[in-house]
Amino acid sequence: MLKFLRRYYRFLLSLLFLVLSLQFSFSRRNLPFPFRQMVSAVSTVSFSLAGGVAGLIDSLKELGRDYLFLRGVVEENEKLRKELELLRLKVARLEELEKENERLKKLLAFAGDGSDLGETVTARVITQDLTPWSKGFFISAGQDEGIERGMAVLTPEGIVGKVYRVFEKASYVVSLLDHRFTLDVRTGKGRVRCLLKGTGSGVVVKYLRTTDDVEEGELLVTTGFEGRFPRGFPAATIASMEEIPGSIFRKVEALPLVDLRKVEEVFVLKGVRESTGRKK
Amino acid sequence: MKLLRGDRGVRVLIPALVGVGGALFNMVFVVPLFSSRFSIDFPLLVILYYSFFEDVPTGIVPVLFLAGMREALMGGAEGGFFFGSVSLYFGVHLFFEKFFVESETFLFFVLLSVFAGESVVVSLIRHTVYEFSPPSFYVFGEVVRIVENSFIAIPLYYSLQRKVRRAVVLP
Repeated sequence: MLKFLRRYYRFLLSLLFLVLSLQFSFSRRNLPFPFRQMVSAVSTVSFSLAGGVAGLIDSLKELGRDYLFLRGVVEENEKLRKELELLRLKVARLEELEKENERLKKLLAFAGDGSDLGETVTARVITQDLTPWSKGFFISAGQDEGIERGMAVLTPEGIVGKVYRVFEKASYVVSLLDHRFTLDVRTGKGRVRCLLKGTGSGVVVKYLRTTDDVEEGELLVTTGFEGRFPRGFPAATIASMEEIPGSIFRKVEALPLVDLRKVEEVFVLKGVRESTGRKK
Repeated sequence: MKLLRGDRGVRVLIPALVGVGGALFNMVFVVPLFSSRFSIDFPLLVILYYSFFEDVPTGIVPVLFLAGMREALMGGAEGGFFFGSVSLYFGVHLFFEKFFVESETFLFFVLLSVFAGESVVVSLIRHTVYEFSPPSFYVFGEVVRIVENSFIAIPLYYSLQRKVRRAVVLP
């Protein structure tokens, strides 16, 4: 037995790790001790080093820019830009709330349950996914900031994605384009409920029937049923629609409202606040 | 020829530093400026280097670190890339030991098979779990990535061997 193990231990270990790899890939379990702690430590080291290098480059760039040319103006501009982003976030919410208000008035059943954005964490995009298999990116907020898996990631323009994995000081976000991203949405005008899904290269809308009153260019907003996303937040617009012969559903493609290549800072929504003050 | 004291440490450390440095280079320069398609999977290349040219007891420590790095930076399901990388380390070592042919072409084709195998497995898992159907440009991109990774491995391995030899051997 010992002779057999000694002879074939590499093969057996390779097989064992292969089975573990496949099992973890399919089951979405958490890594056990001590691997989880090890990966967390390695991720902290990697992101710190990458942050250090990127920070050094940024510092050198800023040094030249700030001290030689526009020292005061750049700082002020940065401050105003952040203020503007927050205001745009509020305006986007107000516009949606206004529409919701009108709709409820029409129904003469004002319930007064308009949801609102809860506590948010601002995070910087560290880097995009290093593989072409995924359309995700890493952000500079993790367990230390109270980030959890499934939390909504937004910008003032709309939904960006959701948190997929959380490390100590960073998190991995799957964007709208990623094939692992799904979101419960409804159309802006017709209020038809459907599913937004990433394909790896674009976004499609599932379960829109041929009889549904939907137009191209229509806004898709979140339903809030998932609990992690605010209600009525803009996510995408309908880009094209096509009838599928013999099917009750349409083939619908959507366009994200956010240009994902240009995202530099995001808001992570830690919880959705209801009008009662209760957190989901 | 006389080996320096601590040569094992140097033999292990130099490739590991190349793997870590390469991953950081991808994170800071390649992916933000170009595309993930052009990023070279340095941690996996170095894991395979240990598998080809290092004994198991020496190589396993940096392999675990680099596997952890792949796991942290590749945004897959928890454990998938970590255990997959370690499995490749043992599996390729075994294969290389049995059928070793000292030629660049052989090495190139082994690497090509490893990268292609990993790509197919990842795509199949994602297809099964998330209904991921790869578009044609994705397949083309993958082919480009696999070939460029395998191509770059040959000069990388030989330069690493030269560096390691220079660092550990006194004339």
